[in-house]
Amino acid sequence: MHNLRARLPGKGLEPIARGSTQVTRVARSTGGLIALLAVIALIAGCGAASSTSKNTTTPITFGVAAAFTGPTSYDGAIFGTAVKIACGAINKAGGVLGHRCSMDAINTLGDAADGALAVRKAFATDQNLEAVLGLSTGEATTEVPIVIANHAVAFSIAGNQTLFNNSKLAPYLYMDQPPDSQTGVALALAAVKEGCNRPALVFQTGPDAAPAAAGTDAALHNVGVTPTANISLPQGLPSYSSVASQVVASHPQCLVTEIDDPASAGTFFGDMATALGGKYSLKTISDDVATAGPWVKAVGNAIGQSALTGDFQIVQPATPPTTPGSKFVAAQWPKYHSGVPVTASFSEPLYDSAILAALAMDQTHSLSASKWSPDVAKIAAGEPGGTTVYTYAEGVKALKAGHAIHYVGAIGNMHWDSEHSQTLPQAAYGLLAGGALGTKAIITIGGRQIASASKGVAKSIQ
Amino acid sequence: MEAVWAAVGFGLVSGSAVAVAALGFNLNLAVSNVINVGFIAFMMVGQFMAHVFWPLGLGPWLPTALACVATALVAVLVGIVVEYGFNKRSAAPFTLVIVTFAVASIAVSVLSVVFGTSAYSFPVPQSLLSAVSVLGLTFTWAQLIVLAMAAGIVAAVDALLRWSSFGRSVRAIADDSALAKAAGLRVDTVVFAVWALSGGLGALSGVLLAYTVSNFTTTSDEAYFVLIVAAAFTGGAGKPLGSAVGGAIIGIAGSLVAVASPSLSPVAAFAVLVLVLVVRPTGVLGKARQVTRA
Repeated sequence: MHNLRARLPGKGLEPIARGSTQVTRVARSTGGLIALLAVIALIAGCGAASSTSKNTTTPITFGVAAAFTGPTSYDGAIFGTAVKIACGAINKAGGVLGHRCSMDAINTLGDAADGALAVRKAFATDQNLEAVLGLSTGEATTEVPIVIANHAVAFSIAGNQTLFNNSKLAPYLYMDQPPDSQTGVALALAAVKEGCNRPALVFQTGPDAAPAAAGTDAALHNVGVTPTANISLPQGLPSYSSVASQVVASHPQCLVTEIDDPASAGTFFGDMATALGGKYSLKTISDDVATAGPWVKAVGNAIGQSALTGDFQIVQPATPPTTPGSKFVAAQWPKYHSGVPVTASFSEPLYDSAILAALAMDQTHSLSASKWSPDVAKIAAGEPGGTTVYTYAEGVKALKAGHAIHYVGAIGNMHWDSEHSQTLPQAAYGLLAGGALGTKAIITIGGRQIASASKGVAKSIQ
Repeated sequence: MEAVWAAVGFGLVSGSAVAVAALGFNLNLAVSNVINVGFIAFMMVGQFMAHVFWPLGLGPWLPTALACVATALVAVLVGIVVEYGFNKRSAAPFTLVIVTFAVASIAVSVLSVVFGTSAYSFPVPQSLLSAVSVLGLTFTWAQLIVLAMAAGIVAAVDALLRWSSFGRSVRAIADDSALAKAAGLRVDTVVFAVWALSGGLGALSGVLLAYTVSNFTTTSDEAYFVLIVAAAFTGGAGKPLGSAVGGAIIGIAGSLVAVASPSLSPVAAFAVLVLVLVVRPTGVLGKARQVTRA
């Protein structure tokens, strides 16, 4: 009898007799090995295949990176609801390439480090995560690179200048809000439009307000206006009396400012009231940091609510005109979250971004970000002769009919430039009690004016 | 020159609340030999206790007095933990710093849970916000009251330490607690009385600060610890009267630097502290001493 030899693991060559238990064991182990290799090959083959070959019962996911718990859970509620409404509209029209859409809440706790961990975990546990939306200022710089490294697309409402300046991120990053420097430009133009040719500038020291400060300074220079004072205000001091005296002594016609810290803002404006003779009476133009509850309370305590509502104006992206999309979002909102109001600045751009992403996937017949991401900007910009659509259902119908499409969404037209940054029209609104804004814009500043006055704004702002 | 002279006035106001706080901090350091990193917790507790007691009326006097009593009790509890748990067991100074830091963190967390993150303020009658000129310096009546109260508090504590038997005991223990104990002084009683006094002064300084900066939150006082330590060591570590001098120096230095560059204002306190410690390591009014633990 020939001895069949087989190399058993760790045992070297061993003589084997046919029909023996040893043969059976070897046969089983060999067969098992072959079966395992076959399964591995099958899985690898599935992974390497075109992503459109996903089983259509597998949903695609739009992640929302925001704080869903904690002091800033307000953000998660707004962002998440906007994307849920978008997924609802997408699913009602048959999904994306046959896949249903779902929203995944990625709880960042409002912190950059926690957010990075949460986004990593989301990609590790969900293979169908196509895009991540939200990614607000303060978190975006750690989270966006993770999204892009995982071959997904990021739609961010951050104003971080560093994101706008990073061309490596641009193909897979869409900014749903203008950069903070643009806000600064709008502040300057608002002051000039209001007849203030002698503005004093006071911006909080630090990265939060630095881009806006640079934008304001550059824009005033571009329009030929020289500030009477230009002060960087450190946070958390017990007194700003010296600064307030300097500002008042320069005899400004208005104050252009961004002071993010509520306590510092309260102290500063209190000292300003003292320097002005005991009553605050200087027209003040700020951005939307001045609408936050704690800020309004701190400054109101310092100078009185009547001074706050009488002298303060807030510049922010102009409330867009009512569109079919905005009506749809407003109608759907209470069904998903009646606890918070629709906030046009954030909810509508995120809703539109989710719809645009879905339409881009439909247009390119692909779930691969490298293929559909460029079409987001194309659909938002529209092509000559393209069909204007206002809803996802209309977009899908037009695409099936072979038309090029131009999506006009809840926020109206979204114009991304080559770096996927936006220039939005801005407006100044009166500040009302409790941080609410007047419904009617006092002045408006068009996107072209902003772009024109933005020349020279340092691109290296960090 | 006018701006510089105005900055002196502003600095005196901002330094006055710091001076009262540094006084409380220095008393603690002198008697217990503890760098109480948690001192700002006494300020915050005082502010919020005054806010809680405000509806009782007679504001600010009654609420502030009650807040001082409440904070003094809290300080005694902290003192019991620090003294019996660590100091009497010859814990390392760094350990004591960590313990007091932990106490402050717990206090801030509890206050944040109870009062949230909103800004609070004490009402100031409009009449007290009108400006008045004193020696060419412009103040509001409210600021003058804060200055006067701070000066009065420092003078009262200084008188207590100079002329009362309690004060003599405090000074004896600060000089040499082992000898004081051997001489029959009730060291533990005095130590805890000083903890209570330190807490009360913390509460007073918190209320004065709240009037100076127009509002307070559960985290707004954290930035002042640096100024308090700088004022305490500039005036003389363990030297209560030095606190007033240190507070004035730190406040004026910050305001003067702000005239040139507001961004550099926060580092003025450090710069002054380093300069004083290089030129006179014991502080402006301090003197070298050897501390012996009982």
